Amino acid sequence: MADPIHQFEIKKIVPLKLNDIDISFTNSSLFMILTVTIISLFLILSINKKKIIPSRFQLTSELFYKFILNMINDNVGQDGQKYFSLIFSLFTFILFGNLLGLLPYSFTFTSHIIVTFVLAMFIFVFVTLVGILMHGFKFFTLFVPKGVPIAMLPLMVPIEVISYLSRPISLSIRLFANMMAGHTMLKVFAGFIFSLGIFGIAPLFVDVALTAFEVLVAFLQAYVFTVLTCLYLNDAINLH
Amino acid sequence: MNNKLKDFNKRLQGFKKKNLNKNNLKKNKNLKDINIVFKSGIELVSPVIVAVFIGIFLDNYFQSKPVFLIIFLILGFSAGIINVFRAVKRLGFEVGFKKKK
Repeated sequence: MADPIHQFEIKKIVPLKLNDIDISFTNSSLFMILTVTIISLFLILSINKKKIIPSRFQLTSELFYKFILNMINDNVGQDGQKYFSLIFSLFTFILFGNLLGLLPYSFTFTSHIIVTFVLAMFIFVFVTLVGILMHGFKFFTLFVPKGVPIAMLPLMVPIEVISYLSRPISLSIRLFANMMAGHTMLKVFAGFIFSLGIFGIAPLFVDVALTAFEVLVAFLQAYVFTVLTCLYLNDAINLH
Repeated sequence: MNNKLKDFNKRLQGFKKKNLNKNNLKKNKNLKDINIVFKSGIELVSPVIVAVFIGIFLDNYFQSKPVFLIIFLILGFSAGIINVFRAVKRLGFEVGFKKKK
């Protein structure tokens, strides 16, 4: 049976070394560049011929724009619109990366924890900096929950700090685990198809259903990642 | 003919209005519910991971092997439970506290 983990293997395409650090161009980097290229092409081509009555192609990119704008307005408010470009690029990058990984012979870079962790860490540092720059020292009142008696504070503040520090971890593990579990499951069922002979038609149907489910997960995880980013931004911008 | 068309237009407008209000609210709420279900499991575990790291680091620093690990483990579990509690609060199942707005 084919090895279901094999698909996550990182292969060096152009080996590069900077002193002792390995900075090779791998299949992961190739698909990241491919994702960015596809997004740019899609957005540039779709709004190439701007019309008041949009074509269907133009409508798709307007749909993306409106979706993110509504998300920011609902979760952060008017002040969050400054960060539209960040949230929009984040959403499209994760979404297209997830969807591109579903194609046969492609590679899913979001199924590697280091990629998602760096994304989450970047957001964590960014949100913390935004909070500190906007509110100064007052930002740290985020760790003092409202309506808690003073006697409980020595217990509550460490808990709040720990749950604040756990944000990048929960953000990254969620995306990575969902993508990796889904892709492994697809491969495991695909392995059954051949080894079961004629009864392989049953796992084949399961695989078809799972592929549809994976498309849903790809959308949902991109959505969840960006919504949580919005919520964290909201915490930083509008202190309680 | 004209009359029929007008009638049709009226019905269409009414239907659109009804559908828009209903659908939008329902969809949004469903998506948020799924969101919370996906969230809560990891939300419970990740503070524990952070707490274990902090505990081990402090123990190494102060040479006090199990003390800080135990303290932070307890804090981490509590943080996880509070996280899940807060996530569920948005669903409207909350006990005790009131909603913010």
